[in-house]
Amino acid sequence: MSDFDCNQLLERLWAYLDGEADESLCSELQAHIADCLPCRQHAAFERRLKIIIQYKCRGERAPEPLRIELVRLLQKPS
Amino acid sequence: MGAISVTPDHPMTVEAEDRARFEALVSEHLDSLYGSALRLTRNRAAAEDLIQDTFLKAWRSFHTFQAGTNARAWLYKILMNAYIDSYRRSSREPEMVDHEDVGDFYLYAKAQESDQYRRAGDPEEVLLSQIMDADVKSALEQVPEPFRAAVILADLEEFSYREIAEILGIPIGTVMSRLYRGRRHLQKLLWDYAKRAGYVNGKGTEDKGGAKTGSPTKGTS
Repeated sequence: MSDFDCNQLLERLWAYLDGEADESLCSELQAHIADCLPCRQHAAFERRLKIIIQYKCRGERAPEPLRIELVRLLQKPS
Repeated sequence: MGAISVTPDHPMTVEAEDRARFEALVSEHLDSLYGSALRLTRNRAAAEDLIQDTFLKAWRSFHTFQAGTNARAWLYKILMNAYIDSYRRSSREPEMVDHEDVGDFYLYAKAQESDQYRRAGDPEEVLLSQIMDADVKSALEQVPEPFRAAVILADLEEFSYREIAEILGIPIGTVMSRLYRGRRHLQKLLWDYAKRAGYVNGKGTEDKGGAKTGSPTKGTS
């Protein structure tokens, strides 16, 4: 069914999760994941971890004085 | 300010129009650029300097920017160039060396292999909920360069590999290897956090050879 073993899947897992795998690689990876419980769980874990990292590290807001300073700098004749 | 002449027929000069377009870009992308600058420089004052530098450079070359092209990637390219320049210039900032061997470190496998996590029933759930409580920002900031930049651009900013290659001026293969290594580092750092936090009363997750005696909930009898 799938020509990949688990190690080969792991090597390509992140590219797949990043949406960077081409169509044929995607279908091979999906076939392996469908057949292999440990890889399915690992993939789910990586996907959730990535979401948590985004959630925890994003959402900064620039301080208002910086915003004001930028506008002021842009008003200066160059 | 001399460039702005308000007349009934031409309310704005070309420069004022440019300025208005540029200010719109600033307000649209400032927060995300500032967030990345903060994760890159690891300090608010340096992040603010970097952002000012970035937008001044962007404004100076704004006439070369083609409307309708990827403004976000264009701004990030300027940000990363300014960051790398200032990083190289400041000798106070010690060059981070990637000593640590993070070879094949997988957080998932670590949770699976750990007796403590297995005893908790659902190792992945326990570990992920610990990471929800962990200081992930500070872990990310400890990932050495140039790997950290790749992780920030891919995982926080969700640029494609091709865009990251363009932003950093490196081949896609290099993007992938930096990203691979950066994520390994980050997972290792998160694992260190999780071990320190412990899953039961902050005890019992030492992974030292002979220290696995007794369950963390049991005291010495």
